[in-house]
Parts: sequence; C-alpha cells; structure tokens
Amino acid sequence: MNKFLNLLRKEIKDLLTLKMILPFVFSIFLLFFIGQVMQKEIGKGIKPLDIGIVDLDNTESSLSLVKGLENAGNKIIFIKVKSDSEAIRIANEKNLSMVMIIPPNYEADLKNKKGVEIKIYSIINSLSFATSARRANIRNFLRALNQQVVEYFVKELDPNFNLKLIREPIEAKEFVVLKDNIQQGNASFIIAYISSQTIIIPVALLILIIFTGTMIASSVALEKENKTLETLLTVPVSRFTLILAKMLAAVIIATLFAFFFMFAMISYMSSFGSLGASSPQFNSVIKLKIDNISKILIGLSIFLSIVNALIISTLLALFAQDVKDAQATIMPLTIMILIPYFFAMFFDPGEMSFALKIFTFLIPFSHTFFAFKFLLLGQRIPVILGNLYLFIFAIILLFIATKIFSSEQILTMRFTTFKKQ
Amino acid sequence: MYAVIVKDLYKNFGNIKAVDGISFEVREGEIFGLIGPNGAGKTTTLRIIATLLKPTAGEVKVFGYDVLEDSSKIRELISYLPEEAGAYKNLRGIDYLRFMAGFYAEDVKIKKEMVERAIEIAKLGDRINDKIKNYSKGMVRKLLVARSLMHSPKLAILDEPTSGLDVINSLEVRNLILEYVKTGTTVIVSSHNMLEIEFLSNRVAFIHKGKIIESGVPATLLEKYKSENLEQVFVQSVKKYE
Repeated sequence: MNKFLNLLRKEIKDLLTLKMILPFVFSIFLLFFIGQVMQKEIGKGIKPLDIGIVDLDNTESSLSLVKGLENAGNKIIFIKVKSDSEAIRIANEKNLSMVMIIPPNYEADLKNKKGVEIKIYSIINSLSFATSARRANIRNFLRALNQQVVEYFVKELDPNFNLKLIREPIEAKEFVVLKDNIQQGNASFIIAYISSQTIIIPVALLILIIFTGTMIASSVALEKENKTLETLLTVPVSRFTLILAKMLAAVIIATLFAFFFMFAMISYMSSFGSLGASSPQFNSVIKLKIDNISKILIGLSIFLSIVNALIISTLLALFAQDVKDAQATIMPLTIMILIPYFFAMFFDPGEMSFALKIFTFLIPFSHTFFAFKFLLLGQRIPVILGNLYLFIFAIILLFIATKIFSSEQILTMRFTTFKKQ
Repeated sequence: MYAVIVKDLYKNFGNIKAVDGISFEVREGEIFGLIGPNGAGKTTTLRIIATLLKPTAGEVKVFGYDVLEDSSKIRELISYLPEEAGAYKNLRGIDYLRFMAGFYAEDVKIKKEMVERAIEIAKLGDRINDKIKNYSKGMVRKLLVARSLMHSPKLAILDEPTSGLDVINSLEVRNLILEYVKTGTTVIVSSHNMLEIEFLSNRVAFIHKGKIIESGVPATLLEKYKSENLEQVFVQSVKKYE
C-alpha cells in the first residue's frame, strides 16, 4: 500500500505542473468570464431604451401611449420638431435608440374607428444581442397596445362580450408523458429545456475523458522521454501497481479539473437565462428529474468511461517515444469519443438504423453519452447493459495493458510511423 | 556462491541476434566488468539480468532465482542503472531519492537512513535540494549512481555508469562505485571504455558480436596477451576469435 501511495504522490506531482495547470485555469476563467459578460449583456435586454417621442397629437390617448412606454421602464425624451428627418437628426445627436412619431389626430382617428399609423424609426447604433432584445420588448408593448384597442372596440359594441374569446378562442391544454409521469406542459419546451441542461454533462464528459486520456498518455510517454521507465520497471513493485497509480493520479486530477470546469460551464450556461423558470412547464421538468438509482447508474457509467479512456490512452501511449508522439497516438481515442458525442446530440437510439446502432454501441463511450437520454425516458436496462459492456471492455483492456507492461514490449514496441528520423 | 549465473543465453530481436549463446558467472562481492564495443550485446545482457527483457533461450539466475520465474524476487535484490537513465525533472534531487527509497523500505527511519546514505554518495552538497531540471549531466549521473546504491542492493547492475561524463565527473563516479562496493555489494558494470573497467573490475569478460570471446582477471589477461592494457587485450582476442 505504501509503495502504491509513494507512486501515486509522485504521479500527481508529475502531472500537476504549471504547464498543465495554467492553460486549464485560463480556459476556466475565460468560460466563467464569458458567462458573466453574457449575463450582464442579456440583462441589459430587459433594461429600458432611450426613446424620442414626437407627439403631434398631444391628447390624452397619445399621452397614455407614452405613459405606457414609460411605465415599461423606457426613458422618454420628448422632441418638438415638425419633420421626421429633423427628429432623426436630434435622436442621432442625443444617441437615442428609437424615435416614435405619433401622428396628429391619433385620438380622434381611434375614436372614429379609423386605422392609425405610428412611425417608429429604430436607430441602429449597436448590433448587440441586448439591443435586439430591447427592441423586441417595444414590439411586444405595441402588440399589447393593439390588443387593448381591439378589446376597447369590442366592449363598445357589446359590453357583455367575453374578451377571453378574442385573446384565445381555442385554448390548448398540453400534457407531457414521460416515464410514468403525466405533467402539464409543452413538449417542445421541455425537450429544449432538457437539451439545454443536459448539454453540460456530455461537454464536461468529453473534456474530462480527453483531458484524462492526454494526461495519462503524456505521463507514460514522459517516462520514456526522460528515460525513467527502465529504472521504474526494475523496482520491486508490481506492474499492475505502476499502471494503477498512473491512472488513479490522472483520475484525481481530471475529476478536480472537471469540477471546476462544470462550475464555469454552469455559469456560462446560466447566462442564457433560466428559460422561464417560473412557468408551469419548468415545474413539470422539476418533477421529471431522474431518481437516485438513475443518478448512480449515470455516475457509474461516467466512471467506467473514464477508466476505459485511461487504459486505451495508456495502451496507445506505449507506442509513443516522447510526449509529442503521445499527443498524436491518442488521436484514435479522441475520434472514439467525438463520434458518440455528436451522435448523442443529434440522434435518438430509437431512430437509428440497426447497423448504425451496432456501430455506435460498439464504441464504449457511446453508452455513457446516451445513458442520460435512456434514463429520462425511463429505460434503465440499456444503461445497466451499457455499464456491463463498459466494465467487461475495461477488464479486457486492463488485462492487455498489464500484459504489455509486464512484458519486454513496453521497452521495444513502437509504431514505425512514430519513429524519429 | 555465485551472485549471477548466465548459461547459454540467446536473445534475438527479429532476425538480429543481440546475444548469441553467452555464459559467465559473477561471484558474490566482486565487481564484474562486461567489456565490448557499442552494439556488442552488453546492454541486452544486463537488461535480461535486470528482468527487463526475456531470454530467447538459455538460463539466467540471480542469487539462485530464475529471471523468468522469479522476476519479482530478483527486483528486490538488485538495482539497475541504465546507460541513458534520467530522473524526474520536476522533482528536487532529495525528493527523487525519497521517492526511490519508498520502494525499498516502509519504515520511515530506514527510509531516512537510505536517503542520507544516498546524499553522502552523491556528494551534491546543497544542490540536492534543487530541482533536477537544473542539474548538469554529471550531477544527474551522480544522483542516479547514489540512487542505485543507497539501499545496499545485493547486486548492482551499472550500464556504462560514466556514459557522457567528462574526465573529472567520470573519475568521481568510478571512485563512488569503488568506495561503495567495499560494503559487500556485487556489481556488474558494463562499458566500452576498457580503461575504466580495468580500473574498476575484479574480473572481466569481453563481449563481441553477442559472444563472450575472453574472460578472466585483468592482471592475468594482461599477462596472457602480453599487453599493457585491456584495450590491447581486447584487440588481440578479437583477432584470435575471428
């Protein structure tokens, strides 16, 4: 045990170099920073616009319209001019985002049930997402205003008319059936919500696996490059212990990094808003969250995937002569991970052809990427079988790795393509 | 008792015969020198004794243990210094010694004694606390020699211990080995530098194209070939062999 801990300590020290930590810290900081900036920028979307108002009517109705805009939080600047072009010039000077021109006879035309035309000049002085969102708010306001005017006309014609019939003559009561649960909500909303939330898991997993794989491959290759492997192979410790210590060190560091990455990723994802967190649909999703057994199955699947990635990387790194070689040798692992990553994003197992399904699920990592989808659909058996497959795959790989580590091939094997000229 | 017995040893790498039927014995407590030019089969032989490579044919025993059957037992008795060995560059010299001592002793006190012994052998002074990446080649080699001797192995296998070192560093490393083996450790040392081997060894064997072409006590060989040094003996024995 002491020998194992001795090795583990050394491996962790070897992996935790500034060269390794700095790029990771930088990318986490960047992700976190982008998340914060996005949050602020999107927050601006609900902030008011500076609107220039040219009220050529100046009646109770036109003032009521302006008051409505002001109540919506917009900053109102009255402009007293006679022409549109003059209004635009002033708006440009005052850096306003919009000019609204209320025509003369606005109130009279409305009362006479004539159509009214309000001119809105949007001054494009920013192409940001936030500005676009703010302009959308104005459109929503005008839509609501139109609705109010329509309701006013209808009430005038028939004071007892049920206004709900105008607003929503056909009301759809939607339900989503997931697992044994039937919840009120919109299916497309819930799918979009789940997709947006579950994207964190595959992305984190992708990074975790590739990062861990690169670490272990570099660690093995570094032993060769620094000419320390031969010495290590002659010390009184089993080859299995040597591999295990290397792998565990990589898992510990990768998990630590993945934790920070997830934190940054969540910050980044949350910047896109909570997708109507207070809506009934959101409450439905909350009720459809996976249970504890499913969580254990997911955790096990992630763990087994990492173990598989570590062993594959170790095996591939045995062909490398130095760290540069190691980066190239793990390319097959990266492809093995990227294929199921994209498949899981775009396909549902039920919609895949038989051949594609076989191809996909022969890749061990597919089982982890698809596990979350299976569990949300209440299908535990494919996840359990997937975990079993991952376990058997890992045992076979570990057996091969230990065999190679115990043989002289560890010192002699290499791909001719990686040989130095 | 023999520390090492090598009998009819063959090692092939594909079609290349790296070791071609060699036999020799190393007595307990002696320094045995394996001499030969580059590519003669010295390193392959030492790697087999160190349990890194498996023989194609033949038998190798270390203190009675077979390299194929009892490799883990042998690893407890030996230490191996490869020709191009390196150390973990991110570790400090002292941490490297502590790390390596951890494989040979579980007891903290014994481990500490081993490290102290290694510091004494390495003679690196305060630089032992520096990171290895800041060491010169000579300093790394001294550290590695110290590492290979610190746990008093029953058999130390040193492959070209002064490889790549300048005259002064080579002499220091040779003196380190000589000084240390007085404690009773058996040493197999290989080199293509015949003067070095003459200086170090009690007995020597010449290896040429995977075969042992001559062996014996240096003084006896010098007398037998009426030569002034082992280089001349080697040249004559190669001529005789061919």
